[in-house]
Amino acid sequence: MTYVFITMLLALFGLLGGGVGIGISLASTAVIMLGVFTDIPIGKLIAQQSFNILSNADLVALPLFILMGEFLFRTNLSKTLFNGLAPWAGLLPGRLLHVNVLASSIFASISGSSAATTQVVGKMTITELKRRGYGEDVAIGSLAGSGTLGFLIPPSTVMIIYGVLAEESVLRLFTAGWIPGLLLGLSLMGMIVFLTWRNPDLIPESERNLRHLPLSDRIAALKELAPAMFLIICVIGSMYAGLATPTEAASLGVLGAFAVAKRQGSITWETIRAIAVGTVQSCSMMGMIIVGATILGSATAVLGIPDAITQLVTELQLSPFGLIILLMAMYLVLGMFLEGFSMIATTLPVVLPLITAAGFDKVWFGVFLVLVVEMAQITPPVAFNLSIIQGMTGIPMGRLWRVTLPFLGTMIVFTMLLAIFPQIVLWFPDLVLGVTR
Amino acid sequence: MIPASVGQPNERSAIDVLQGWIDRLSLISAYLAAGCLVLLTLLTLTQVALGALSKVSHFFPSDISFGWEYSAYLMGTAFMLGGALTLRAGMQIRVEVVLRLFGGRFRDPLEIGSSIIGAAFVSFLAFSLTRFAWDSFQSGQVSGSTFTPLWIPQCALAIGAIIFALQSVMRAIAAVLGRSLVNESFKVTSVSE
Repeated sequence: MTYVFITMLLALFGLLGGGVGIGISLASTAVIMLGVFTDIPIGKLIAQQSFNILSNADLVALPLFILMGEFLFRTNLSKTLFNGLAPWAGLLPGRLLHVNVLASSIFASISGSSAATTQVVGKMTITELKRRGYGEDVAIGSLAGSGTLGFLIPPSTVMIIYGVLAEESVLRLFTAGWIPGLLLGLSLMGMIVFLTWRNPDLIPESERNLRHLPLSDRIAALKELAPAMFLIICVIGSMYAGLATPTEAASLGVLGAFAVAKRQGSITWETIRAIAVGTVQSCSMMGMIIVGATILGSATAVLGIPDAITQLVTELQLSPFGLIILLMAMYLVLGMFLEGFSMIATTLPVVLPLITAAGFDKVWFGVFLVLVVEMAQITPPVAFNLSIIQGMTGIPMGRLWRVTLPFLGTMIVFTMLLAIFPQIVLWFPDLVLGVTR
Repeated sequence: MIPASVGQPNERSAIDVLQGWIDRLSLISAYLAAGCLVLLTLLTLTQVALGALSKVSHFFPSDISFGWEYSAYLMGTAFMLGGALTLRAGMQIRVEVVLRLFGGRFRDPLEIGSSIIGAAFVSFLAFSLTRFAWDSFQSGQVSGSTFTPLWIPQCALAIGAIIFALQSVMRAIAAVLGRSLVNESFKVTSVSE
């Protein structure tokens, strides 16, 4: 078994490091392993596995949420969110810096992607906070931190993929994301308060009187949030009212996002073409990774790797908490080189049996994975969300990483808290959907 | 990029023509994929509408019997049909740290190696999916819930994979010849995730 394992790691990391596409690396590793250690018909296995995963109805929500994200990207939701939230954020110590977190939380309950969240929220806050004279470091850092809420607060494309690969209910995973998502949002806001308390110069003098805005103005501003609320009702409302499954909710989201974009006059033939090509590319990119992960997953099962791992875990008698700390460290390192989806796809075939053997709940682990994936999005050199912010601001990666650190630290501490108190994750889905364990 | 075959204008233009054809095929294939996604969205929306209407009146069925199954086939077909364009747009993600670190001297051999591995795997996948569809056709397999002949969706996947394989092989050829691996016109401003 040791040989099998070493061959797998060598093949996998050799291919990944050599610049082969992630999905193809995963699938080719499976082909090599099966070719060397078994005599089963490989072609039949990869065709069967590809067909199975590519005709899996639970995965249908994924292209729909991607399509919805492409429409949202072309609305002026960023502006309406900013205008609606700014008068309220002005009440808090830390002032408009909180708009990053608040707008991200709201946008995250519409969209399933953290890249879209960072882009849409940042489009407005980066220039606006700078124009008003806020400290750029904390403005950018809090955007990078809160943009990652896109994956944790449902809907979430990462949770769909995890749900399909780990055979866990997507609705349950979504429901488990709420409380940790909102708590993480609060923690990030706490970090903003702390940073601005330590260095009051981060907030410009002129912004201190934001507190004295008349209440009527504040209430009037809420009107601006109408399109966002409409979309939340489409997606989240329909799902929890029992009217729609996650997939159906996603289709309502597409319709809603299309309606908002159309009303704002941003639908032209040119944008439709860009939306079509952009959606197809994102779908195929993720599709290939999912196919690769499925093929590798079935190859490891054929080779008996999950059983071997289960045995190893029992023999090692690792404490569950020790195991989680170990996994978190591993994911933090992997996150420097792999982007979120790829990280889940690459590790899940091995890590999932490990986790279930150690007695962890799959829903809890899903939320944990989402958190580490979020961290991966902001740990360089490969940091998807930081690259997006870099594209928008031109700030060098080194500085982006430095200003993001306090918020990354908040996320690490938060994740450890979830490991110590797993009930934070589990009580809400148990309450809403009933206990199934 | 310096063309490797300077001085052989005929050969170069032949490659250009071939690349042009495969790019056009990839684009058509991607538009078909987009069409599948539109159908998939409409099908799912119809399901939602029927679900809501059936609560009001029993006249409406609560769902379309083939809805879930066919929307999943459309999804798979779209994923495969988009593969070629995605590759050519440079959007198939990979780990680029090593490529960047050892850039210069090792970059070209690494690009050639990884493109050849990619071409080999995708060709194998296309071949396997084609044979898989053919086997289903010959044995007359149908799906459990709607009795749809399975070779139809399998054939759609195979076609997508074949076009993807053509583009992958072309990429390997382009890498060996030191030509540009990415068609910039296929890139779009998007959320890209």
